[in-house]
Amino acid sequence: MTIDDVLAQVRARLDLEADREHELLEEIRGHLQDAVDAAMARGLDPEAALAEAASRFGIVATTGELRRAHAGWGALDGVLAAAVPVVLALLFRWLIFAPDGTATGWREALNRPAFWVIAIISLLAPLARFRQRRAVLAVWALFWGLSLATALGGAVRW
Amino acid sequence: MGNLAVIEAILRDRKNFFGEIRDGIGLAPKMRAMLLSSIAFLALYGAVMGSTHSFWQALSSAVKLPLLFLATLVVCAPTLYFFNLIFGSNQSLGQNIALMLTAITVTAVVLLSFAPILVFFLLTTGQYQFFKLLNVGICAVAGLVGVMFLVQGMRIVAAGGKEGAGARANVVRLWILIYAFVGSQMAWTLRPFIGAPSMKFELFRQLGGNFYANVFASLGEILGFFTVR
Repeated sequence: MTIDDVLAQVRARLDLEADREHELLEEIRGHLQDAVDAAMARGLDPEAALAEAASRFGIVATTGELRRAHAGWGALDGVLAAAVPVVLALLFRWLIFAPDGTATGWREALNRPAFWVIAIISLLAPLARFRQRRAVLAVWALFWGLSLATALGGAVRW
Repeated sequence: MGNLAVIEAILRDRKNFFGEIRDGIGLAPKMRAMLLSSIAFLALYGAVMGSTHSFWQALSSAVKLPLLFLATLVVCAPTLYFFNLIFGSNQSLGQNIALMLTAITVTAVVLLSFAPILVFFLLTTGQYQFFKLLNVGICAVAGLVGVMFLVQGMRIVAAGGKEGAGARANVVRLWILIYAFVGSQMAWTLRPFIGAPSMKFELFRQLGGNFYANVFASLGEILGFFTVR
């Protein structure tokens, strides 16, 4: 058995987001290596030293605690990344620029300073709010790119 | 359990989640959290659907889409519960409803994940029949994923049941068909969700016709066979 084998058992039980899991596994590797070194200094052979270190670590109990302590919010980030652009699009469409339910063209909206203020705040808000900024920004860039392209092209008929 | 944390639990830690439903741990908070989050997600998706027509249609669809799923649940829940009971299940009605709500919550999350795509098509196409069929397709995919979770959940929750496991698995499969039929008819009854551009806003349309005939008619128009009036 090697440290990698122990880590493989830990990994199978952790089931966390990949980056968080990688950080934890590297930390555990360091602790295990220290424990193995200490046991070998006491005169144990490498295999016995690793067995003792793994036993002290307690794969089942410790991984359970780690999973509970480090369970992420990745799915929620995904929910927010999908919901925020859609909510703001609906707010733009129905509450801010056409509260009476009539169609207001995007060309007309482009001439209103409020449009730009809200668009910029909406674009910047995810930067301060979410951990997975790149994903949120990609959604936003696509959404706003399309919005502006269709507005400038006059292709949208609300 | 936080209302949105339930999403994380279902998607990432589903074995534990279903295990807790099997053991009856925290059923009420789980059901409340699933109910609230699925209503929110379905309302958002519904609002996007109705946004092709008018503000009132968007508002109406935001209310009607959660209503569609929850009404279908209410109509279909007793069937699943009693047939499971007949074939030896020891699950309570609460556990059955929690499992069905899990399926609805997963469906709602998948629909939400499609909402930006729907906004994209809202911005770039004005073809009503295409938009309608796109929504039918998205709802079918989302429903399928939700139902897969239901089957998985039923399997975990029923684990340890002594008799009739095979029969109960068949009951779930048959129930899924019933659920799909009831759901599609419910959707037809509660229509419009998108709103034909040539028609004024109506909260509900007159009864008549059926969901499947309408989907075929829309397909026929898109393929150029005829024009739907």
